[in-house]
Amino acid sequence: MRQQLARRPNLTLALIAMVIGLVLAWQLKGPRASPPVGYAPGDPRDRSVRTIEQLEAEQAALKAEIARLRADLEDYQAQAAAETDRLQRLNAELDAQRAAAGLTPMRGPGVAVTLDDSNVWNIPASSDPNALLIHDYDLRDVVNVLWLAGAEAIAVNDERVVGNTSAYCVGSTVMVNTTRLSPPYIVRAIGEPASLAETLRNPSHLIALRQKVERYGIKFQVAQVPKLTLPAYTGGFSVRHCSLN
Amino acid sequence: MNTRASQISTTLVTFLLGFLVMAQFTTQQRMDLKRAAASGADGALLISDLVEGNVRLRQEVAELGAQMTSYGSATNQARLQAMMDELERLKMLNGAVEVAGPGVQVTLDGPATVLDLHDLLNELRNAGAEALALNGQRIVASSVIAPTADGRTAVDGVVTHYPYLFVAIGDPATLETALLRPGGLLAVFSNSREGLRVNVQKRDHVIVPAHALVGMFQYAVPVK
Repeated sequence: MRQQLARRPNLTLALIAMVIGLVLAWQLKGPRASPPVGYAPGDPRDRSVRTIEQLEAEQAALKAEIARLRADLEDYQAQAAAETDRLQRLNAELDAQRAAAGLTPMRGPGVAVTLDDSNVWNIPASSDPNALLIHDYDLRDVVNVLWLAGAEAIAVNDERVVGNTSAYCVGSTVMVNTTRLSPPYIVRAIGEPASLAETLRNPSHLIALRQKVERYGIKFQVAQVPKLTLPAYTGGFSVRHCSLN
Repeated sequence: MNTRASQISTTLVTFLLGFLVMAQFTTQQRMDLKRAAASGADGALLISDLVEGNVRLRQEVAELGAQMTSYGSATNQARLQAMMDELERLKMLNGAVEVAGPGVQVTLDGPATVLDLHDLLNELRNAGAEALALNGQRIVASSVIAPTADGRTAVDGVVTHYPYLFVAIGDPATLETALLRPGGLLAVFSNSREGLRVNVQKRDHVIVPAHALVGMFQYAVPVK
């Protein structure tokens, strides 16, 4: 059979050609044969066909636009979620660093140390009148003993003690954070009240101050306070010369 | 050979046939649409459905566009950057990170007291030091130099001894001038302290290490 077919390819081709002919005929004839097709331009039926085609093209474009927007939005949302996450972590870190820098008012238990110049007038003429006054180093010594005792935040009057705080005398007043303070000086510290007070009263600390209290009537009082509120540092910080190493 | 030739021609012809059938089918689809459009009521219905559908699609596009703008990614980025800059500045201030810069080195060689060392720290802060270290340890606000039970000197609990090397970051000339001013602490040290040698050197680049612990609050609570 295969051999027979192979010997008569002309017959096979003829059959196929006939089918093609039929199809071609149908194809070419069809549009012309079926009556409601191939309207003349301007025919209202032709216009509606074109309207439908335009609307469908518009629909396809809109769908593509929506798909693109949804994909973009999804990217944005993922990015925004990551950013929100980062913002929250950054905010928490900033809060912690601001508090550590003394830029946040702090509340807690602690001690209030009052230091004041002597009001004793009948001291021996031979003694140094400076011994009657509270000096910058007296305040510094009290602040250092408080840090040693575990204080978490310290203020002198309303000046918060921060990393660049210095205390120095100008005439008879003390400058802290370049702000002029006048006596009485009240050093307030947040921490465990009993251990702060105990360390301040320890005779191995503040030896010079204790001597002035005994000899010249300088005022030095320590009070435990259940609730203190220390103000935030309001001065400037400079890191103009620092860079991360 | 003859068989091969007939197979090739059959294949070609079959391809052509398939193509024609497809073309016919596509044409037929178009015919259907056109017929539907042409048959009055159906055509109007199709058009109004398409118009309505496209209006809804356009609304969706507008809504998605509005959502996109509400995220305002550019502003967030700027805010993040500002916050990160501020955080870096605070960390440098607080001693949370190692910092470097120009500054001075102050050496105090001799048996200085703990109070002397605190006074010198005060002097350096007053002179405008931005970051401080003593014998390789960062000095922060709450740093304490204290004598140990056996009479040695400890910086934040770490025992050290003289020579004491203070490193300060800041404008070298300003720091030097402030430290060496007549009647200043260093002048007092070098004039009136037997066996205490004082040396100040400007430096283009010094390193101040990070502090081990920064801002640990147990009793203090931020006031909001």
